[in-house]
Amino acid sequence: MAKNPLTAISKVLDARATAGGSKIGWAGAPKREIAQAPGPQSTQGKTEARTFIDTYFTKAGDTQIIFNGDRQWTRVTLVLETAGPVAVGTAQSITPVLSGKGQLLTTNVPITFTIAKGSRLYVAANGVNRIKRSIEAVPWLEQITGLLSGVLQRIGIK
Amino acid sequence: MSFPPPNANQYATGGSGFFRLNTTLTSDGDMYSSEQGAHGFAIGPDSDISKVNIAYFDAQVDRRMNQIAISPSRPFPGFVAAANEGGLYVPSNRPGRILIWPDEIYNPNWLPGNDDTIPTDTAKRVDIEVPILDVIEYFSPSPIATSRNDKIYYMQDLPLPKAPAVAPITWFYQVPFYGRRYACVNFQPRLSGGATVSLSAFGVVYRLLGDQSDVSIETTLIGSVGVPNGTVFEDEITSSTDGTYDAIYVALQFSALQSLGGGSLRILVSDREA
Repeated sequence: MAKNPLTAISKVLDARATAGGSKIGWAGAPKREIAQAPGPQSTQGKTEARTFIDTYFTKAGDTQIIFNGDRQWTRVTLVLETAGPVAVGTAQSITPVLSGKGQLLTTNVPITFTIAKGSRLYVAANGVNRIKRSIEAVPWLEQITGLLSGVLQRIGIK
Repeated sequence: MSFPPPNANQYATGGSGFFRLNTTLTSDGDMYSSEQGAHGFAIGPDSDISKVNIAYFDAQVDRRMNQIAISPSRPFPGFVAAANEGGLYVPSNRPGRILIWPDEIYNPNWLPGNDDTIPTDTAKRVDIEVPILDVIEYFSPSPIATSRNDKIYYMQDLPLPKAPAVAPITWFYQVPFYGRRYACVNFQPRLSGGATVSLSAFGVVYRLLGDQSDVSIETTLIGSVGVPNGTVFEDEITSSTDGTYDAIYVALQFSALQSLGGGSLRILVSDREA
């Protein structure tokens, strides 16, 4: 008779709980023969949760980085104040501006991007433009992502 | 053209919602450029020039340069993308910036030619109001106004020739009249020494051909009329009865040198006849 997979999951999770450890954080030595998702960050520094607001000035020429999301998940809201054209995207080169490699910003229309940790947002323009830039940290997205990866890993879904 | 020319980028970085090109003309060949994209173009409220050409990059037309003319009654409300990088006009291979220039003839060296009734030995002075080019480039979609302000040119004391000039003296005063449909001339003399003064007015259409003495077509709008001291002269010029002109000028001929300023002159020009 085959094992009931739900029973197996339950036993594993119960064992974790009775071990006295939190479901969030270090859960024992990793099995090196199995690829694992990085564990979620258990603590957050104050500086990493700040909101950052400013005005970004584009310049003509090559693609520039308008936001570097290496450290954490963030929501980036952009509002183009001038006529443009200005394109934003996640590729390292999104020129020519009107080629479609990026997404064109519309004047006075806010647009919000949720940038995953490790991703970057690039911008390209044909000249000087003003862009309102708001960067809001959403560190809980990283914890949720980590939790989901851990759960999926334990039930055998890679 | 003014130097340095107005820079649209400074308007954009300064937070303005538009670039206003507001400058006096040096010649009708003045040309200005903008590196900013636009959500519309319109003639500015203080423009003397009534028709302005806008050129922008368009890959589908000859020379990659498309062109549109704007006037007080016809602004352009569409989006024009800046093409400073990658778009080149042909065959100059220059960046496809937006270009702005007047579509009117203007001669900064104009001199009045219709002075047949003025003695050749009279002392003369010519004052010319230089036309203003006023164009607004909008950075965001905005309601676009479509009319120009009326303009009043007022001289409380006239800049007449002084001694050692010898009378009779004549003063010519020219104002721009591009696209205007109405003008009102008011003149009240303030004479000294028992002098007399006569007033006449002419319409000017500039010509591209001809030598210095033949640079315009002139039409008499107000025939020579004597204006007694202390009285008020008033007359109107309308496009429906008198025609349209690039400029109009008033000629005041005084029989003697003046020490009291000669009088007050007011010229109003408008886009509306009524």
